[in-house]
Amino acid sequence: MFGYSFHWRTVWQEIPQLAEGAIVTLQIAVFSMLIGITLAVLLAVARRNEGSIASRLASVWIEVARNTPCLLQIYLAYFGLGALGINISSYAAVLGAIAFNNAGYLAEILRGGFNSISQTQYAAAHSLGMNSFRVYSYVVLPQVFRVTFRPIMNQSMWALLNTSLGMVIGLKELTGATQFAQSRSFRTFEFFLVAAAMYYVIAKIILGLAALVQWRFLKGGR
Amino acid sequence: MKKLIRNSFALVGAALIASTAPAQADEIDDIIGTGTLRCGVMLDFPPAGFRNSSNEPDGFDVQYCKDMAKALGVEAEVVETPSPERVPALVSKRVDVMIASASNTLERAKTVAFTMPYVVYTNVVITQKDSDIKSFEDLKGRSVGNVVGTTPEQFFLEHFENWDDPNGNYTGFGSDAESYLAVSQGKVEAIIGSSAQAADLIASGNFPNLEIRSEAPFTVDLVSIAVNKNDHSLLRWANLFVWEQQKSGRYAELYKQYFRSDEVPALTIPNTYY
Amino acid sequence: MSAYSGLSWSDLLFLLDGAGKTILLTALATLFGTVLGIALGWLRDSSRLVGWIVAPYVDVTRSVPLIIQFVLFNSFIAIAGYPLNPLWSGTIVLSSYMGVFTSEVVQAGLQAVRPELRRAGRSLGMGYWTEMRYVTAPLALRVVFPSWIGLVIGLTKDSALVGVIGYIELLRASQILINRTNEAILILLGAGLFYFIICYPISRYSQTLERKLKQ
Repeated sequence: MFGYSFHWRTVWQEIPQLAEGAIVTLQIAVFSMLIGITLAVLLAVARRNEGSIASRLASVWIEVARNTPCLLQIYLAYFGLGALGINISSYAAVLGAIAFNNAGYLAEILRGGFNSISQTQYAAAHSLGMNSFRVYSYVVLPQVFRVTFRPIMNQSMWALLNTSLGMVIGLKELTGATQFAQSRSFRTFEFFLVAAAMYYVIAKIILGLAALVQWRFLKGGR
Repeated sequence: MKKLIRNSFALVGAALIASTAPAQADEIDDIIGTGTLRCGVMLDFPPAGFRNSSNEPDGFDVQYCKDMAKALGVEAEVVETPSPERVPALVSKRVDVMIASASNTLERAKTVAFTMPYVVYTNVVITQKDSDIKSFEDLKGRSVGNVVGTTPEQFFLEHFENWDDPNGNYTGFGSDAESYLAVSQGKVEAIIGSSAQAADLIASGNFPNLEIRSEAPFTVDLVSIAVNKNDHSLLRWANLFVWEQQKSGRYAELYKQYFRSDEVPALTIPNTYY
Repeated sequence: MSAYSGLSWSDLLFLLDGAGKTILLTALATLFGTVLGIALGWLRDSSRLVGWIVAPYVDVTRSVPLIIQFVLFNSFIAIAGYPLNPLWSGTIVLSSYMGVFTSEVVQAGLQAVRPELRRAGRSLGMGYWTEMRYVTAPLALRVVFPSWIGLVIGLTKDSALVGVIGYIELLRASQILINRTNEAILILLGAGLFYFIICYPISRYSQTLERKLKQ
C-alpha cells in the first residue's frame, strides 16, 4: 500500500518559515474577529430600526457577506478596490474582507441574542436615567454575548479557516508558507500534514483565548 | 476442431497468468495496454499550458503530451493538475507523466525522476511604462511580485536576500494572472515573469500600461518531464523521446509556435552534457 | 498562437457548466453529509463513549481549513494507491466536513428536546423508536432545520475550494476565464452574482421558516 517513503528531515528544516506563517494566520483570525464583533454590534443595532436607511444598508451588508464566497470577497477587497485606484496591502485586504464576512454572520447571531432580551429591560434601564449607549453597553450587550457565546465561537473557527484563502493574493500565511515550502521539495503530503497540525494548535489557542474572555467578562448567567 | 479448443484454452490460461502477474509489465506496457497516455499539465501557466478561446487545453506542454502519445501509438489524455496537485497526481498514478514545466532541481529530484530538459525559460522584469526601473539591479529596495512556489521566485529571493534592503519587499501571488493584475494596478512596482508569457500577454493588448524592461540574470531555468522514481523504463523512453523531438526539429517548431520567438534556445548549458 | 483572447458568449456556457458542477458537488455532499451527520449526531447524543471516540475526528475536521483537507486527503489516497477523480475526492472530503457540522446541529437539536417530554412519551408505552419518530425527531427538527439550511449555503460556497485539486466548478471556471481574458473584476462580479442567486433564496426561505417555527 505505501510505496512512498516519507522525508521528514526536509520538513523540519522549514519549520521556522511555517511558524512565521502561522503567526500571521493567528493574527488575522483574532483581529478579524475583534473588528467583526464591533461592526456586527453596529449592524445589529442599526437593523433594529426597521425601515431606516441604516437598517437597509445593514441588511445589504449582511446578505452579501453571507451569500457570496469569502474568496471572492478577499479578491474584490484587493483587486476590486485596486481597479478603483485604492491600493491596500494583501494583509489589510485579507483582514478587511474576513472582518466584513465575520460582521455579516455575527450580526445575524447577535440579532437572535437581542430578540431574547425582553422590552421591559430597556424600559427599566431608561427609567433609571441611562442613555441608549449606556443601556446597550451595561445592560443589553453583556446578556447578548452570554447567550450567543457558542455561535460566536463557531464563527471564530470559520474566521480561522477563511484565513487560508489569503494565499491567492500573496499573503504569506500558513497555507501560503506551506505552498512555498512544498513546491521547493515536492513533499506535498508531509508539508500539508504539518500545516494541518499547526492549524489544529492555532484553533486550540483561539478557543483558549475565548475561554479566558468568557471566564473574565461573561461570568454568571447560564 | 479439438486442437482449436485446446489452443483457445491455452490462450485463456496464458492471459489469466499474465493478468495475475503484473510484475512482468512495466509502466510503458501499461500505457500501451490501456491505450492512453495521461499527462499532468498545469493549465494556468500560459503559453505552456492554458485554455484556448473554446476553453480546451492547449499550449506547448499540451502539444508535447500529444506528440508523446502519438509516438507511443496511444491516445493523449490531458489531466489538469494545479501546482499542489502535480506530485500527488503522479505518485497516485492518476497521471503517467508530468509535463508541467517543472524545473529540475536536485531537491525535487529526491521525490520524482526527471528526464533531460525539454524546454528552457528566460525571465524578464515587467513594470508599468512610466516606471523608473530600467534594469534588474534597479529592483533593489522596490516592491516586487512573482508566483508563490515557482523557481523564478526562488532565484529572485536569492538576490533579494543578498541586497538585504529594508525598503524592498516581495509578494508571492497565487498565480500569474494575479501577479500581472497586481503590477498593472500598481500594487507592486515590478514583477518577474517568463519572457514568452510576457510577450504574449502584452501583445494581447490586455495590459496596455505594462512593458518588458530587462532580462532577469537568473541561471538558465531548464524544465523537465517528470515520472515516478521507480518507472525506470518510462524514464529511459521519455529521455529518448525528448532527444528525438529535438533531432526531428519538432521542438523548434513548437517553440516558435507557442513562445513567439525565432530564437530557439539550446537545451544544454555550455561546456556540459546531460 | 496566443493564449489570450477576449470574452465570448460561449464562455457563458463554460461558466454555466461550472455552476452545474458546483450544484452537483453540493448536492452529493449535502446528501452524504446529512446522512452521516444525523447518524453521528444521534450516536454522539445517545452514547457518551461514541462521543468520546469520535471527538478527535470532529475536532480536527472543524479546525483544519478545507484547502488543506482537500490536498491532504488527495495526496493520502494517492500514497495509499487508491487514486480518485477530483469529483469523488471532493465529495468525500466535503461530505465528511458537512457530516461533522451537521452532527453538531443534530446533537444540539436532540438536547433541546426536554427530557420530561421524552420520558412522557416512553411512559405512554411508546418504544424507543416510536418515541423518537413521533416526539423527539419532530421537535428536534424545528431547531435543526434552520441551522442545517445555513450549513447547505456554507457548503455551496465551500465547494469553490475543490478547485485546488482540479475540479472545474464555478469559481475555478471563472479563474480560467480570468487567466485567458484578464477581465478579473467583471468575471468575479458575475460569479459572485451566480452564488448570490443560488444562496440568497435558500437563506430567505430559511429565515421565513424560522419565524414560522417560532410561533
